[in-house]
Amino acid sequence: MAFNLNRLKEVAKQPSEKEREEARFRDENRDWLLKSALIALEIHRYLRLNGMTQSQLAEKLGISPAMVTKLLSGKENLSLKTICGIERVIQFELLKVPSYEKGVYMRCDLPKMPEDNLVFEGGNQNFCKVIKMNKEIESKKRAMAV
Amino acid sequence: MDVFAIIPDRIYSIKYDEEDTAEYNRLFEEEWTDVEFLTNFFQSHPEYTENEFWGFLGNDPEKAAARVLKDAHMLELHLRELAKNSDNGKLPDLEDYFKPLNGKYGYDIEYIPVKGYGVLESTFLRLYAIRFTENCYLIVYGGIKLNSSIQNSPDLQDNVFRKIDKVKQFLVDESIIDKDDI
Repeated sequence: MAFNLNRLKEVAKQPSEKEREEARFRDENRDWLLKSALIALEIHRYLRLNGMTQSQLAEKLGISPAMVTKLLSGKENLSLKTICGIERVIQFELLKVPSYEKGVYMRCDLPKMPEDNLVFEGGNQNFCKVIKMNKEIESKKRAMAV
Repeated sequence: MDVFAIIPDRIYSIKYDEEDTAEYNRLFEEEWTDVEFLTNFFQSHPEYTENEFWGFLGNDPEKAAARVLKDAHMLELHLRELAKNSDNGKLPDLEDYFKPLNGKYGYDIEYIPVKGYGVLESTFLRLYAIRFTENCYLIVYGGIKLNSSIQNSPDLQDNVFRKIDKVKQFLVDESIIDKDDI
């Protein structure tokens, strides 16, 4: 036999308490850790595309540079207030509530639009697009009625 | 160099002397789920996110990083599930996950380096391991593969084969491999 598994078990060490704690923390908090990291990436992109420094962002958000560093680490459990503050500055919707979004735009007096048109990918910009689309449909309806 | 039991009897990991933690933890805690590491990594290799494999990401380092993050979280859960299946005799198990690492080690019979992928269809993630026995593996290295071959991927090209050979010698020195069997 090529491998001596008993010897492997003798040699193998157990992970340190710190490593076990990190693994446990990852397991128990995986869902929000992933969201926090994805939000951090959006902020990274915003800084890169706008050539903005972390200090300038801190100033815009009205928070300390240390807090911005935490946001950018993607390991911070952000409050809704903080997320909305970031959304205002970067002008990009980070969190969505899909059923709310659908409800808002399904106007009963408008022709039903395909679901695909109601999916928002670009936050506020697409919000404007849908409003514009609805207005166009409304004016067409009026023109047809005349 | 040390061996750590990540999931006892199923997944072990090497810890290199120059690292603070075992490879498994380095990948899942310090590299693949670390926003700063990932953004720096992709920003310093823009030529690869424009190539034929990753061009669909539109040379967007944050998009590439987000892909790795999601993939890594899912992969860790997947490995746990496969290890559990291995314990319970269910399929798929770890044997379904790891594939032989062809090329340099194609002719080794007993000492089989293997590779594993992330769970997304187009995945950057690679795990490199050594198969001890059925459903029992030692993680040797891992990283972000930016090109079609290890030899053309930064980081992997300097480390994968070198580390596999280093670990092979360590396993001989620790009598985990019988030298005459290689």
